[in-house]
Amino acid sequence: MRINKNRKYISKYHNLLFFSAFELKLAPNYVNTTIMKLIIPLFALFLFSFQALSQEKRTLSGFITDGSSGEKLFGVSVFDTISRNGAGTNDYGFFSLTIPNEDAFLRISYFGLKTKYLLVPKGTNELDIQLDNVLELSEVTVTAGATRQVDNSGSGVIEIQMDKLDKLPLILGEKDVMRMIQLLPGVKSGGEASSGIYVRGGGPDQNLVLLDGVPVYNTSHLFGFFSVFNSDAISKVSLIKGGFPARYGGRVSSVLDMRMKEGNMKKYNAEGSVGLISSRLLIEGPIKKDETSFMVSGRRTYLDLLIKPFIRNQSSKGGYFFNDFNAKIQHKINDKHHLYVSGYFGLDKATLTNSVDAYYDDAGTRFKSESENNLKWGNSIAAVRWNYKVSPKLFLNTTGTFSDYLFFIGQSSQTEVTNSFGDKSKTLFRNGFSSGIRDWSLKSDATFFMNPKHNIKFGVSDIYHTFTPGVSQTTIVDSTTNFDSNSGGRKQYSHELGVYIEDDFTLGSRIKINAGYRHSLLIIGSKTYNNPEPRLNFNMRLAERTSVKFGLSRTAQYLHLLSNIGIGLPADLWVPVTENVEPVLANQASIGFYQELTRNIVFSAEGYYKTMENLIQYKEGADFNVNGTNWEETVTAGKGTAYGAEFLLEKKKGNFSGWIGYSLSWSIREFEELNNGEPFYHRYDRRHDLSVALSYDITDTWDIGIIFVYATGNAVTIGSQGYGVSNFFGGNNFNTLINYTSLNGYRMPDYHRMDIGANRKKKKKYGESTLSLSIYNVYNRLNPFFIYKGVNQSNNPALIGVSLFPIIPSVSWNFKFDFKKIKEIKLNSIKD
Amino acid sequence: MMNKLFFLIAILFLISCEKEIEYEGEGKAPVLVLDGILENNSLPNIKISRSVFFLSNGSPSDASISGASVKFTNLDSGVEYVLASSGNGYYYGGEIILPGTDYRIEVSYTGYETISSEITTVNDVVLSNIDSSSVEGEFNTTSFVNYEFNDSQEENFYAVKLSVERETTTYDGNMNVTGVDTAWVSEYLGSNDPSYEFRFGENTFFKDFSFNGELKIFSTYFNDYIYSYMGTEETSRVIGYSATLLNLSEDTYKYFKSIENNQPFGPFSDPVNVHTNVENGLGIFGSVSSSVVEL
Repeated sequence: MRINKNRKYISKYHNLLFFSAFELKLAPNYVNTTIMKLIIPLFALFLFSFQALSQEKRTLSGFITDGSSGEKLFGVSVFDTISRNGAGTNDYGFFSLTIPNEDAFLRISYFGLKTKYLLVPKGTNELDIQLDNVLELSEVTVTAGATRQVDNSGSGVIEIQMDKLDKLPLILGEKDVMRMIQLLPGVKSGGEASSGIYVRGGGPDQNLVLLDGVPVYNTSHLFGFFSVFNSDAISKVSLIKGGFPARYGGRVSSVLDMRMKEGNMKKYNAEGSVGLISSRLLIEGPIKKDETSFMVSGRRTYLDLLIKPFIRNQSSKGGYFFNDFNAKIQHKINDKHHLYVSGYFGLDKATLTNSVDAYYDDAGTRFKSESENNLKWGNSIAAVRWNYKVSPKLFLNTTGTFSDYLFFIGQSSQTEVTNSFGDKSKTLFRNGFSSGIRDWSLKSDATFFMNPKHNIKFGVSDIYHTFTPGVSQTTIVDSTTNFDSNSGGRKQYSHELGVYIEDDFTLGSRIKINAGYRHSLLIIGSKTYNNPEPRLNFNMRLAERTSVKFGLSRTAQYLHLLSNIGIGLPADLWVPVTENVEPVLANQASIGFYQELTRNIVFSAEGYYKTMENLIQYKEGADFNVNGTNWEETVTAGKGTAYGAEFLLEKKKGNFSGWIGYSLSWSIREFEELNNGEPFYHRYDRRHDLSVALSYDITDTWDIGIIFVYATGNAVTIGSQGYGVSNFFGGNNFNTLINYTSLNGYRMPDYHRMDIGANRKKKKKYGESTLSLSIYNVYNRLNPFFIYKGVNQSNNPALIGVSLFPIIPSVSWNFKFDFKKIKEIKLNSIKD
Repeated sequence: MMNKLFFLIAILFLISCEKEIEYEGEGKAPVLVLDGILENNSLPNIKISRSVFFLSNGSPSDASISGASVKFTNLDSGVEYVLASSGNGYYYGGEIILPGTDYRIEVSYTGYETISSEITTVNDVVLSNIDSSSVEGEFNTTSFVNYEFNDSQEENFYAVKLSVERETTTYDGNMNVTGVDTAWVSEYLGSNDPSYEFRFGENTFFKDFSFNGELKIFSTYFNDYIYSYMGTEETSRVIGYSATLLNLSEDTYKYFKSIENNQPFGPFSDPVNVHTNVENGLGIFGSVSSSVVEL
């Protein structure tokens, strides 16, 4: 097979291949084919090896973009078919390939775009390539990018194709990338109403969620029902569950790296959606064609507007909404310099106001009062990124970022009392609790493409954290009092520094290694922590379509999320490592087996073992407390162990596509001060977790999708026996005692659910229109969100499960406007 | 029409469903509960009851067990006693409890797993002195009471309680005395002492981690308020104190401390089990010595 290709190739491009003094005259009539099969590759190999040693080299470099939008493409494979050297584009679409200083014939391939072949004559070293002719892909796909999963060195790395999210059923008409991620093996959701993720036994704070390189601290809207990520504005999502490369630091469980769309460099587009509870709109286009582009995107719920007509009480008003705003500008300064500015602003807000006016009591006194209760939280992030191609072999990315998360709950009231003599007195009362975290950071990452066998990355970063771990403020002002107090956790500041180097290199033709070292440092007050974080990923190709991978990593985390049940409530406190509270340290070992069953179907199995030290949790009986208790007094430290196996069977292409994921896992915690020092299961320890996500294209216009999930129930603590208290100190005066199961010693019922959805897509003159119908929880399974002791219909004590979502049908309309097409239609109509 | 549609959507979104769930965990069977805190220099007087499955209709208050076999053994002397039932689940007898002595209890009752426990009784600690002072305010009088004792070298756990005898005088609106009354009342004590840990009822608990083996003066306070009602006024004056210092075994201390957190503090906090040192059962087999000073 290969020889045939070579023959065809040789006959067509023999001038390229045989650039040396040798020239092979093909004489098929005289040469036995079998001998040819052996001789030509050996001869070619000898030839190339000889040239590799003896000839001068040149470095091809440049950017690869999507021809239709100008967006830079990550993970594009650039392969010189002559020297058989290859490279991939980095996160910013840049590639560098060192090959012999002769003509090259490049094959540029990327999943979803048409493969391009390019003859690059000697002397041309800089080239920007556009991949055109976007193929219509009609499948739900989770894939390891353009490079094959059996090829790359990292285990536990999954890249998600964002445009495939449309194929899956929606909840309330909202497509949500975090819910898609929850369907992957090794990733667990916090529950029905949670968009948080729990990766390989870790907590929600142990995931480094990056949006354009900026950490996002709170990833949920509406108390966890939706994630803060507007899927329209996201172009790339990759998840690393283990074997982290050294360039990532600061968290111990996973890295979720998301990139915002850069904006179309070629033409103006708009897309959006109108759903049951929210609508979205995204507009992108060139400010200056092929030089500067923009992207803006917004989303808002209208729950508050929907409920308004039903609130009859004029003295009370309330509502809830959330919104998102994403924006990005990219500017190509010249071939060497690119500049990006991006931002995200999101807010959840619930208010309840009440006013009482002109009320008279018996003594003729008038009261007038207004009160307002507020609950709000949100993220604001911004990034300025500068890409600098220092040389064909050296690429530099420098980023300045800002990230701010704020939570506030409070009330205020103003009361005016007028007595019968007309004397007035006013009282102002304000009480609030706020917490948050703010980061400023500067980091610089360099990639040195030494040669096709070595790709060296190195960099340095500094994050300046400001923690506000729960501050209560009370203000009372009246005619005799002017009281203003602050209590609770004081602001804490820290510098988190990191320096790393890693090398992606190949040994022979079968082994790929990513070896790296990161050194992290935290300075808080007079205390300095520093931790070595070695990383190693190893991929051995057993056969053309089979590989095994090993990963070892040590990671450190210098902040904690204080959470009672860990469902990602906005009230959870981000707290720093302090002199008393040490950083989380984790060690993880993983092993994976990858098999391409066909070009289209991939099977992977991974096992992992992870240990975590210095986890913190509230002490027994402690809770989120708005009364200003110092958080350090309420926590205790312990350790955790997680291990398990994950299986993924995925069909990438075709009318019928999707994946089945299954994980078998254990997650155990051990705290000296909890559960009598005995180990206990983590709340989200789930022995079995099965996810099925499939889609089928019925016709060009209709497609259907189905999701099925099954998971072992959460581990919770509930009562078992009631008994009387000792009466030694007069205990008969006190309530009955309850004996509980051991901590998290009871399993809630298993969780399972099926969703189905259908899309009807229509090409329109202006672009595209899609009507999406979804049914969430199609067989109306009442999965309990929490359980409590109540009474049943017979009025007897019983365990009662409260579930949030019964069967929920939804509909949404999605649209895409292509302004170029609209302009053409207009011009044609004028001509007509 | 649109309003109806919006209403339906809002209801659909806000609705939450409840469903009875069958309890499938272990621990449904009741166990024996021991309430056995031994007081030095007194006869044992303990109570046996059974627990009640928390989803049953029964109440622990009706769960006393009077027909149990209760074996009480002085492990130092090897003498075993069978305690006699005095009704309502109480058992007494045996021997006068000695400080620093090892005791074992074993309780059997048909249909229940036998429970047992062993302890070493605490040593006696003598409350050597108390003193008091008071500060009068506009609306109340704050009384301070200090307890003086010598802490022993081992780790100790303490509680203090205070009964106060008051003379209460009631005046009419013209400040004429209309009545004088005296009564003993157990006070609910506050403490700013650094070794203070928690309160249970009228008992204030503290540990000796900061004064191990030293002379300690533990301080408490309480308030007396001036009550006015319908033109009359009531003032009270303390005329006597009865202070008790209790030296507790560690298990006893942990038992009472853990009661504080037995019911979840908030909707998201995990509940905490009450400490027990009873094998196969619940409750407490503890030890206490007390010392009283009256002033």
